Amino acid sequence: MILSLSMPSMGQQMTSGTVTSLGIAAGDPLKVGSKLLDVRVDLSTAAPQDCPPIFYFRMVAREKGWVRKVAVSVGEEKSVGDVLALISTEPDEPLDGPVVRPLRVASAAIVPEFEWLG
Amino acid sequence: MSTHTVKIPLHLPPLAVDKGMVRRSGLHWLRPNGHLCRPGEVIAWCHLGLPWQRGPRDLPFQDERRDFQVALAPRVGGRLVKARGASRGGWVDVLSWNFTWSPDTVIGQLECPAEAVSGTSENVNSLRALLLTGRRVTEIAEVRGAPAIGWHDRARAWWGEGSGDFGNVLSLGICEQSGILRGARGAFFELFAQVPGPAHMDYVPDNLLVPSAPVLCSALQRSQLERERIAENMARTLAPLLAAEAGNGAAAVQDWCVAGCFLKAITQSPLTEHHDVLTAAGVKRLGPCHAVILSLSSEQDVCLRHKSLGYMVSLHMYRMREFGPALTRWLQTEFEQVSRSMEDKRRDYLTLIDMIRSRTSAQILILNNVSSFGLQDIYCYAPFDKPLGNTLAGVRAKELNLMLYQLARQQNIAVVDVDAAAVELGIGKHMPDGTHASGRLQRALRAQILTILRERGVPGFGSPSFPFYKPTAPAT
Repeated sequence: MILSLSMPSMGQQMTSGTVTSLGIAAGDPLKVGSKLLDVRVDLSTAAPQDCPPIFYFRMVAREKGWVRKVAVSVGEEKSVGDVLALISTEPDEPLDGPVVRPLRVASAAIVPEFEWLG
Repeated sequence: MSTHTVKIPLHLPPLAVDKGMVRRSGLHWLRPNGHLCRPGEVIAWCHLGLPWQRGPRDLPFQDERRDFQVALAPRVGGRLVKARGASRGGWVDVLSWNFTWSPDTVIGQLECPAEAVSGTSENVNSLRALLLTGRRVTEIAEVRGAPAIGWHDRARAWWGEGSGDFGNVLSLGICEQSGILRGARGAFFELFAQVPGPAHMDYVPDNLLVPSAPVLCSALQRSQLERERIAENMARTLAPLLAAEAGNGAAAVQDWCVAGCFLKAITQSPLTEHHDVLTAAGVKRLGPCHAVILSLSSEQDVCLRHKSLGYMVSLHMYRMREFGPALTRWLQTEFEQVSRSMEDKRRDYLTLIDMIRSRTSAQILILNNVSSFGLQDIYCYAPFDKPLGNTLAGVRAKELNLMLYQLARQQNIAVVDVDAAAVELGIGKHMPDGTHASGRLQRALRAQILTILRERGVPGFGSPSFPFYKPTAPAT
């Protein structure tokens, strides 16, 4: 079974997010609780303003599987709904089948790193 | 049954200065003819001109003379009838020297039932005056056109009348306090509509320096000599960097402006500044603050400490991202990052509370953090790195709120529960980005703050039974 990992919507105004950390690579086994990736969301990219709401969130896996393809790299911005990775329930099954459903994940707001200047 | 209606002429209230005359601009009306006014509802405002001579900074209103306004409110409710000619538009309603302020001036009248005014001891013919002023970051920062609006490093409002102790409250927090205390127009109208007075509010924005506890403590302890050393150090270390970038366009010019703002902010200490008020009885200097309102969100995980002079600075990351190369390089070379744990923040608060209480008997109120986050979906905490407070923003916020509550019990400070208020009203609708509150949420928080001030006996802000404001139609 092919499952997809997509950029979720973590707020009404969120249109995209930038991946700041990747915890998976193609070929990795996925365990329950595996860290998938961290995302930085800057809501002011839609409408620049002072005091931009910026938050970070982390996605972790809630089910087992095998990472077959990663379609994003660190620093890359992806829109809500874009596919970030493909996961299969069997390690060698072909990837040409349809995506059956999204990978079950948990998402949580995380404490940001201090973004020092430069 | 017919109701006998009376027509109350609305006189400008008396305002007294020691020498010379108070002058004013034409009026700006905030309500249309026929509007049904509530008691204490601001209906018009104008610019004020006070007689002034150049002198030492600690003379009354030396730094605030250019942005001085008065907002006018009736003492009883009724239907507004404006006087012709009170407003002439254009520069006549902007420049404050066009008219002499006089209690003989009638700006309109109020039609109300006779029973609304019978038995009241107030002089219903005289409007209430809400005085507004702001200290410009630089004197050339001219922003006109609305009350209490400008590029100010402090904005103040007070009822210019009343007997008893003059209540004095200082707001030192992040932008969350702006809407709560200054209201929709930024002119404190909603707050003071619910305050009997005499009462004064000083709002200090976080435009450049974030008022975290170490920054406030650092400012409180700073001597005049230390201020001079900071200025001299900036001239020696920053000015050459700015000069080197001089030909590099807008970023370099921006850095000169920010450097000036930085120097001004770092050499000021809001907790020790004096507050002068203009009243019907004249100009008076208020005593120390009766309450200080802080924001837990000001307590950043990382502050900056000057490597040689040791002073502390907190800056919003989004502001630092706008700095040009000269200022960025200066911060990177002259300052070190100081990480702050939960225990550090608690200790810093204890230090600040001690410092404030060694100087005043001010009540201390602190707004807590929102600890719920939109659409997150945590089914289990096991996958997240321990300690959870270092990984998950919601857990971090809850731990900080718990630290604050423990501090409140131990130190008798008051917590303004933003977290509970936001959740009760619904974060998705009333704080959709997790930071900026809706008008309704701001109203709820304003009511909380007023309740705390009243229950803790801060003079001028009303007794616990004083009514709360119920808004009607928005201002036109």
